Amino acid sequence: MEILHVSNLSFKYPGSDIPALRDVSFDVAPGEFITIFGPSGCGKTTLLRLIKKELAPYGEAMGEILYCGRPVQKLSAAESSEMGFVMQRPEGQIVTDTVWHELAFGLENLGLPSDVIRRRVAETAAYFGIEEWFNQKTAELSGGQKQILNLASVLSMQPRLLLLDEPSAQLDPIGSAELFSALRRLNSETGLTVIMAEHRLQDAFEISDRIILLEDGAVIASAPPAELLKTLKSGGLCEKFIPALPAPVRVFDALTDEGCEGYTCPVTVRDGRRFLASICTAPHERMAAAAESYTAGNAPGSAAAGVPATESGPADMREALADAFAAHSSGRAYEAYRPETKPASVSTQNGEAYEDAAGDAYCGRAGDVPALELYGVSFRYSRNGGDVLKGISFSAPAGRICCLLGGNGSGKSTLLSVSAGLLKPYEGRVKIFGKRLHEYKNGSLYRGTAAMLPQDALTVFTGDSIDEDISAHCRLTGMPEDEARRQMERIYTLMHIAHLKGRHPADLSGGEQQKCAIAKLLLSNPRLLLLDEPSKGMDAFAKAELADIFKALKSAGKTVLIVTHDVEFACDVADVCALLFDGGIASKGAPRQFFAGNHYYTTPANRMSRGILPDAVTVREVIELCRERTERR
Amino acid sequence: MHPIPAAVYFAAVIVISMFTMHPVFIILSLAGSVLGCAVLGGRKAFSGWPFYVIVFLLTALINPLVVHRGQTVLFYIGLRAVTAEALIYGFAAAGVLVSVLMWFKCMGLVLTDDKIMYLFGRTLPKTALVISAATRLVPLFVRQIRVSADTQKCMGAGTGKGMRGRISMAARVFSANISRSLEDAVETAASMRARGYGAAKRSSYAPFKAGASDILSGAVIALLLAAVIYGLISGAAEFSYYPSPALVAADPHSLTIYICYGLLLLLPVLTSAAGRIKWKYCMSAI
Repeated sequence: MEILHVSNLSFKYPGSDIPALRDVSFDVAPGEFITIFGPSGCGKTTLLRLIKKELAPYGEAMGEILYCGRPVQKLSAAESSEMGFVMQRPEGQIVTDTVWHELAFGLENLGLPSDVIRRRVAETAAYFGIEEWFNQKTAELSGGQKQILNLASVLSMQPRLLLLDEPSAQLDPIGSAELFSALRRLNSETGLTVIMAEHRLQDAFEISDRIILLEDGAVIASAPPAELLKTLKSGGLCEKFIPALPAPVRVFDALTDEGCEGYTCPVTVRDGRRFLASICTAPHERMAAAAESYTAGNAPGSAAAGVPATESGPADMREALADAFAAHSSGRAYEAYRPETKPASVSTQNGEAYEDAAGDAYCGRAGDVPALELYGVSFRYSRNGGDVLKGISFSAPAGRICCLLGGNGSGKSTLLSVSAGLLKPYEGRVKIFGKRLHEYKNGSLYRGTAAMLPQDALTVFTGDSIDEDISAHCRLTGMPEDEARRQMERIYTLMHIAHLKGRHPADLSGGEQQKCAIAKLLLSNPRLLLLDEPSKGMDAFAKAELADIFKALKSAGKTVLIVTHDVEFACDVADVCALLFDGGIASKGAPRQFFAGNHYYTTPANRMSRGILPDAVTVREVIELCRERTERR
Repeated sequence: MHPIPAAVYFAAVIVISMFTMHPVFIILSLAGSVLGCAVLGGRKAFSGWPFYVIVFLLTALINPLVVHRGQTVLFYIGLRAVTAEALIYGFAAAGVLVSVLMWFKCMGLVLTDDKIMYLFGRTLPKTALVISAATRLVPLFVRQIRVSADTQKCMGAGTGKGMRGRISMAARVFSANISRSLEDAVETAASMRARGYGAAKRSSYAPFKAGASDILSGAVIALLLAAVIYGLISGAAEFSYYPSPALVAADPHSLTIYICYGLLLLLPVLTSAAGRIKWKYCMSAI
């Protein structure tokens, strides 16, 4: 018998005419791993919360949800504890102050005796490798550790069904990789049934038995990962969802048509390599045809068209934004950069343009003052602590997008804070546009020169609504409000966030928060933007839009320094990439040389094509090169 | 060490130290607390030593200035006599004060937050949970405020507008973070419900289990404590400073009480030393 049976479920929030869920039906067999996928606001969270009766939202629900054949509303507390629920934000779910107490919390609630609790806490901690930090305070844990703890403290209650609501959305790639490997182990070693809402499909694809695609509250596709593409194609849904799929699937999609038999859709990088190898080495009749149909219909340029329907396309927006900023900041020295709105990153035609970015972007234009320079900067948080930055020297060329990559604790965020003047290095010099930091007197650095977006975008706002926040911000900064409002209207319209003005910042989705925060930073019209993990917690659609915003800012002459874990995002937007390791710059270069030179720290597309195709870094490049090979034959 | 014998030990030692003015008791207590701190906390425990020296000297010197009893006049300030007895009493009181402070420090080193929580949790499980949740929230809130203030500063809010700008910026940051904490609390409440909070009668768990060594140390503490309390009742800790200090009794009965009290106070040092010797022995055996 199935463990969960959902049939004809519809749900409406009170006061809303639009149903959050429409006629959702699916069954879950014991031991299945199901991923529910869909753009933000599609009803993933509502669906998951309805299954867990303690978290069910208020509203009008129709249809039924049966857990082991019984309606969930009628389950006893003990039966309901067989369903575990892990939420999105690692921080908010933690109740107690120590790790051991957190693990025991649920068991205490069930009123179990100490001996039983001791045994279960011990085995759970051992299984998840928590022993090392078992006695620590919960506040001292990293985001990834917190989420592992949340998972472990739910699993110490020994649930039969695990519900996860975007558990990796707030985590960096290392943290989410740990989380996913824990989930994979649980599912395969204990047969735990898992239903997970997720938008990071690369990882989810590898561990799921089935993907359920949700849009506007309705199930539009339900298939095993390898067959999802076929289902999407037959439903005519490709255009929209392709950009969200993992790299191997996207490559497969572009290089094959429906009639292409003999190949199953690759899901992992390993399968993707096999597929590429077979397609690129053996002469293949169908390839030419496939490539043709690919150029005709599904051109790489239109890949970005997966952005949710907006009045104007992303390219338009990019130009408009660029114009807006150029108008606003006319008379500045960097005006000269503006016209080069070349279709950035599509400049990879036929492999020749590959080199163009390398030399030029790397050092900026000759004779220019770099936006940010660090000379031998060393920093530590406490006198007896170790150096976080060890005599680092680094410069970000003006008018470029520069991405700083690196693992946890490599000093990325510290570097950003030092650059913004929030932390003082004990050694070395920091210059912004050729001026030492201390020469910017009385906070003048933050009025028109530099602005920083912290990792937690919510800290940017102090108001009850975006609108009220801007007014207060104008009062506090002494910005003339009329002008700021005009500027704001313009930016908001261009960034498609005008409709969010009346909302409370905390009610926005991760992507919306980031966009609103960036828009607020832009009010002071800074020439240098320092951004900490701007793409964190975003789905593929929001990321594509964000990338366009950054490119527009570049066209307007802004310098953007991004600290990120997101290799694919960096590859897409950056002119210069640098790898921070152990408090110093380990390597630096244009994205192509940078990622092609890395073996592990690189994009899935590059890992997939390494040794098969020369130096392809993005999915688009892999596709182009493949086409070329087959055409040549 | 198990929290219960530790808590009993420190409560007893602190109370006895507080209420005995016998010079031998004071010296033993001072020595025990300083050595205990050194053994338990190492060099770090003495980072605030100037504070203790100042407290000691102030207490010692203020007494002769305000109390003028005693036979031996050292000198006069105006018409007031400064006596040797008052000075001695001052030093004794200072010894008591500093030793009690040091014992508290020792207690902090041994009874960490989670052990105190455990002690509470046995009698007041709900209070214990509230305290546990609160100890998580306060530092979290402080950290969040710091990050927020930095972010606002980075966007130019409150800079260059003098004190008033900075204050109104701080006020906004504070209120925004309060409402944010409340939102977080809603999420925490959901997480509590999802984990069965309120579904059954709660039990309280702590990762402490009494072992043989805990029972042994508990027995030793009880034995020594009983001897000391017997001594206190029999008057071994009585001592008068005025009009002139009495002689320190040195009969076998008193000496036994001194030794018992000394052993009691040195327990942390002795167990730690025993542990070290045992370790050394084990190491050489390996």
